[in-house]
Amino acid sequence: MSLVLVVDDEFGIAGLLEDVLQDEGYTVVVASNGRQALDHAMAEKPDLVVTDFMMPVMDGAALVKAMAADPKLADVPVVLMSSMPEESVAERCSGYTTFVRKPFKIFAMIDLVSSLLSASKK
Amino acid sequence: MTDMLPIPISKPDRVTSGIDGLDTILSGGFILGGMYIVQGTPGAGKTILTNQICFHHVGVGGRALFVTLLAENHARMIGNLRGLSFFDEAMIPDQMSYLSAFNEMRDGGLEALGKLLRREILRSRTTMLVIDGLVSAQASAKSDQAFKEFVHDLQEVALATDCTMFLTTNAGDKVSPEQTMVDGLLVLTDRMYGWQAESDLQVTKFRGGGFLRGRHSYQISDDGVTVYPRIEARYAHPSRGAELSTGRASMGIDRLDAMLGGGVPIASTTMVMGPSGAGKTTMGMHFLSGSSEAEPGLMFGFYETPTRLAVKADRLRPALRPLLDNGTVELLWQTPTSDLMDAYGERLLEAVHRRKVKRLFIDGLTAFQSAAIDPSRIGNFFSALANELRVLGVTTVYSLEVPDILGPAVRVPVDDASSLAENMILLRFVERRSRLYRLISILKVRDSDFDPSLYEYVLGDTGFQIRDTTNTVEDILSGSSDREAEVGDFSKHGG
Repeated sequence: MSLVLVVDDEFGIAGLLEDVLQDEGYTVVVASNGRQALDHAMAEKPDLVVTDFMMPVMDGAALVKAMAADPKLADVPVVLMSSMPEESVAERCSGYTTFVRKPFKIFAMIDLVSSLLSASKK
Repeated sequence: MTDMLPIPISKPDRVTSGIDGLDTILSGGFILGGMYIVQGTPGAGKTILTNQICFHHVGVGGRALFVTLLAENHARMIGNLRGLSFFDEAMIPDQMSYLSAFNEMRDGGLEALGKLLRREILRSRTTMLVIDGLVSAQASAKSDQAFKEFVHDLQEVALATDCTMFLTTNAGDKVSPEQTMVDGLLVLTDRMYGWQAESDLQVTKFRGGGFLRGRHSYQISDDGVTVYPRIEARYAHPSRGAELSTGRASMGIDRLDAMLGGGVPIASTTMVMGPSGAGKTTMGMHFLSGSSEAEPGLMFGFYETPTRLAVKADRLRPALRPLLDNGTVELLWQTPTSDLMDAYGERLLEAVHRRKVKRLFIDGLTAFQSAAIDPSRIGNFFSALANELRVLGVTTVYSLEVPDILGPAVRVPVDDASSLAENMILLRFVERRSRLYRLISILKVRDSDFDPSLYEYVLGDTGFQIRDTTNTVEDILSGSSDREAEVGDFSKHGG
């Protein structure tokens, strides 16, 4: 069973992703900032990370950078979410797998998670 | 960097309510995935309105969920809805479902409620959610902040799932935290004006698009809620640009056309004023007898019943009856004083649009006035109506009853009548030597000269007959005429 790490300081979005991904049969761990997420990831390597960009304590860019620097986590695909356009985010962050603009459509997100997990297993 | 297909960004698509007037007020409907508060006093129709919107939504392929936070019996609510035409039992429970979240909220608070709603929306792919009794959720919140977070989280769910949400509440005028957060606020109010009640709907906030501000009347009937946007708000800007019309439209009475300088200007408004029995309706019917396939006619009447009008139409020359029979002229009879002014206006414009009417006779302007709960609206109402009719190329004749049957003074029962009509025709009675005479005169014609003389007329078997000389009027007014011989020979002079 794939482990998905959801990182968002907005409980509504994190809770929604948790519910929907659990319903899809994934194991879901939720963190509310990059620091918490990194701790989880180092304790148990996730198969996929879905993270917000702007968060307190440690933002999405710092999380992506820290994962890339860790050989154990460097190959984990990361979905980066933001309400900012990708051009703005890309100036501040590199190394993520896919960008998703908020507000996103939940059923499209399910498809994206599924396809990324399938691709990473090949 | 991105190497997968991006997830599409949501567009501000609209979700129609299925209530034409409401969709008009909202410039096309609610925003998909938006969250709206429906606020109103008990009995104002919140439950009917939200159920009606849900049944329309499921009727066009959506899925709706109606969640009650009150200890309320759904069977009773459904029983009450059963008599309404929009209710469709076959949609329950697959497309339209009802759920009580009272226990979850009581036992687990807002967190449990939020989780339940998320689960249900995802499980059944709900695209419309109603939360009935928001005040209960607010009461169970540990703080205002906790309640705001609940609403915020729910908004995120709405956006991510394209689920349009309605929260109903009885709250008063106080601005509550959730009102500042949601995408729109609809307020339903019942007001008393003397013995009359009027229900009105007001959109006080609507993100993502323009809307018609101010109060709009609505009615609740077996068909559910019908909303009538204020005519003066809806047509504050006419629906199209005006085309320059230079021709004349015949009033259907040769002598009158001559007095007017060749008829009334096309696409103008003409007010025919006079006391009861002066022949206003007959004159309007003469005007409609000039209708044709290219110029369909409409009679929008209040006081004379269709049966009585049919008898008049039979006798009128030129003939009106064949035009009624073949549908060139439509007769729409309204019961006076039983409806709202905007409802009349809406029905009138719908009929004009439907048949591309070019000749319109509104028989009984005062019926609109009687239906106006707020008389201060009359002027703007008629200005907007007249402007819209003008841009549609409709030549309009109104009849207006004046209260004084006899006497030199003519009191007009509407304010600023001159601004309501570009052309004015006055019919009046004069009493001389123990008998009544009828006189007609033109008071004004838009941008053109006219014959300002007074003429005598009679209402004969075939309708209006106007004398082609002013001599008899001078005799009548001087009281010197021996009329008996002349009246017997009147048809020779008739128009």
